[in-house]
Amino acid sequence: MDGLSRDEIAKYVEELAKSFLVKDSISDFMKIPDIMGIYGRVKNDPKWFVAENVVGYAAYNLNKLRSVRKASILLDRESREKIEALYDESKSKIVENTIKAIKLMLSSDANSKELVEILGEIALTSTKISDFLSYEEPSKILNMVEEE
Amino acid sequence: MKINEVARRLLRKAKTIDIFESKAGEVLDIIITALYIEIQAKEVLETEAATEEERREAEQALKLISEVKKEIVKQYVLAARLSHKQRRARRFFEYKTHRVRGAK
Repeated sequence: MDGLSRDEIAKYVEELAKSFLVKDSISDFMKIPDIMGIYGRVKNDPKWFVAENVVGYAAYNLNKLRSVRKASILLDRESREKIEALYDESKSKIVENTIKAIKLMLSSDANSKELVEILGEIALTSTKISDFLSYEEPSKILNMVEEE
Repeated sequence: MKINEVARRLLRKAKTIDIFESKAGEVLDIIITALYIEIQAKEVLETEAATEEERREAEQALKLISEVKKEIVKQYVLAARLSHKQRRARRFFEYKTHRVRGAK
């Protein structure tokens, strides 16, 4: 990790994010928090660990919503559209802010207020997903998917 | 969603979260969202063009966020005390076992 330049790391993360946006490959997106954790350990910089956990938990929630979305055929049209809209909106917001956070943390003039605002957007989106998943219908689907 | 409503939901989460059982991201989500809402509320209060209602919501959000912070600190203190108790319990158990073995 130390061998890569900051630009190379940013470029690699953008490629992973793009793969998630285009091919819906969530496993690629889940590599991003791992990279943040490794970079944080290499640089011994705590802000990377906070970002690792916030982005990691957002990816975890997004993955759950993705499973519910796949099984949403069991629901009525209105619920399906609601899930679809929440997934698309959350996905683009989380990806966009994750890239912003990485670029900010890699830059030498990282401002903590700005970073809190970016991570706050991710955390708020993640909270919205977990709130939605705790509703009766989505949680039933989630239990069914997880049991399989 | 209005910021005071988000803050109210956060407080509910902070009161029900179990620090031992939760993922680190879950607790951090509450902390980071609370800080984010605090920044937004302060910005509203600094904006001269903000309406009375927006100010009222921002003030309410700040009060709730202060409660969220206290709640999280309380949870961590409780968790620390519990682990301290657990450590004492383990030491006591080891002492007892040692005595029993020693008696043999």
